Amino acid sequence: MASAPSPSTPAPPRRAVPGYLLGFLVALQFLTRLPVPAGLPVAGPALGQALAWFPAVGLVLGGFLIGADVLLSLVLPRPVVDVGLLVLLALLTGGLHLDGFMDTCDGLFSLRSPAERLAIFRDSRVGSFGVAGLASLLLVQWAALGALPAAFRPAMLLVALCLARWAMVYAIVAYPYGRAEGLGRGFKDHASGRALLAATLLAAGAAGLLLGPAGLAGLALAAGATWLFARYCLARLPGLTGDTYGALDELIETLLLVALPVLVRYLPAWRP
Amino acid sequence: MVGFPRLQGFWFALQFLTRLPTPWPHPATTEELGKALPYFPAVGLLLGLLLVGLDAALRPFLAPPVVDALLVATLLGLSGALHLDGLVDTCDAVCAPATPQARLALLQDSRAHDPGALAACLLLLAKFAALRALPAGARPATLLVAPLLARWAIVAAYWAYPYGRRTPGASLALKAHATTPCAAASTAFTLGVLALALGPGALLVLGGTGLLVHLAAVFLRTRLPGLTGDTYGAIAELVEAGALVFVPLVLYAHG
Repeated sequence: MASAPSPSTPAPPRRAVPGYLLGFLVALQFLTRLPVPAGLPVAGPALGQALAWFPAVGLVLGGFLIGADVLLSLVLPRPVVDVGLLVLLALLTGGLHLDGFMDTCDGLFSLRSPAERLAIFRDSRVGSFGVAGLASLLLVQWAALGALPAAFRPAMLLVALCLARWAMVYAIVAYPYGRAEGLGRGFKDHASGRALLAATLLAAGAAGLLLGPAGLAGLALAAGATWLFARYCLARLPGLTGDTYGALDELIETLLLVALPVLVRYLPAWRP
Repeated sequence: MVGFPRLQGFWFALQFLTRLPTPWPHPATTEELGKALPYFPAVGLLLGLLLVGLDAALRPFLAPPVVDALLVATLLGLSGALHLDGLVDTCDAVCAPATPQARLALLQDSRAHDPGALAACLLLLAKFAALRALPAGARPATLLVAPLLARWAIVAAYWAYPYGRRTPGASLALKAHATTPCAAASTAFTLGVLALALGPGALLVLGGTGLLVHLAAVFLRTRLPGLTGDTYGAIAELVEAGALVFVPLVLYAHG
């Protein structure tokens, strides 16, 4: 328990958070339910700084999953542990990206005009396409988790979560935004090539260190898939939105969980 | 004019039932769509061939559970969740405490409610479990015929049971074309493919599918004034999952 400030002295002003740490904390605040200091900015240039740290948030989430994986594996069989990891990830992210994925399925798969699709994104209720998409997404993720080779399991969890968040940065910086306002708007307004460069260096460094050439191939795969996804969305919407960023995160995560074991088999990777 | 004029109906069916690209530049009008009905099983066969090909292509690289999950997702994605959407809406409507006429309006609600969401999850889980349990020997044949049987079931349901709506739309146009020659032609095509893929079990599989369609339709007609586009989708999903479960049994019963 912190001692209460004496009534004679006013509460000290909150210690200024250094710039680099501010970006990281703002990214944590937006992408996770992890506790962060109160009073962090929710708008303005700090969002641009936060973008550079998205891949780092992926690494933090991956760290939690690895810890849970080790602990749960002591007492539970593999398929049950994998369900536990999916539940934990949904809790840690507050279901943010899954929600975006469901809204995106509802908006993109129904045959509507772009304006109607944007309205569907805003609708917090779920439609058939969202339910069907969510169920098959979780099924593929669960199956992919069960197939991760034991020796590379921690590294692949880290790389998949890290590169999925990098893909959001790439999409935010490189493609137009579809709304006048919205959660993604602030990020888009303050997005810069510098943030993308920093995020890319961080993602490439992590992927390269953890999985070697296979990790870098994963980054290339994520970039290609993001390009395809953005093309698909932009053919149906005036621009990307926060929901489609979330959908992208889930899709890239799933793609990498499926593809990284294949890449590791055909490309040299560091042996742990 | 792209492609052979005689194949128009096939392109319309492909455009209506799948998200695959078609050489047909414009969306089919409801009038043109009617011509598509006899070609539904052919589209099912094409989807089955794609599944068999994907299965063969992925299996050297990926773990069996991942391949099975991807096949379930691919089948869903190729159809654009058209039929699963029908299953969700149908379950929502038949579970609602409402009169049959009022349920017709519920079918058009694009939101998913508890019964529909539950049905969609269970159906996908059932398909995944069925694929996991497929014996290697029965795998290609089962993957090939399941989508075919599902689309034949749609034609059979159009032909055999009264349609529930009066409002013009895609389903009413299809219903108008669900004549006995049309049903006979698509049944002959389906039976031919089944005979090639399954051998002596073909008749049993087609008969079992017909029985499943009949039971579903009888149940649906106790809850709705007639069948609608959504219920055809529900029947298709039911038959597809049923085929994945039962076709291997028939194959083994016939040696």
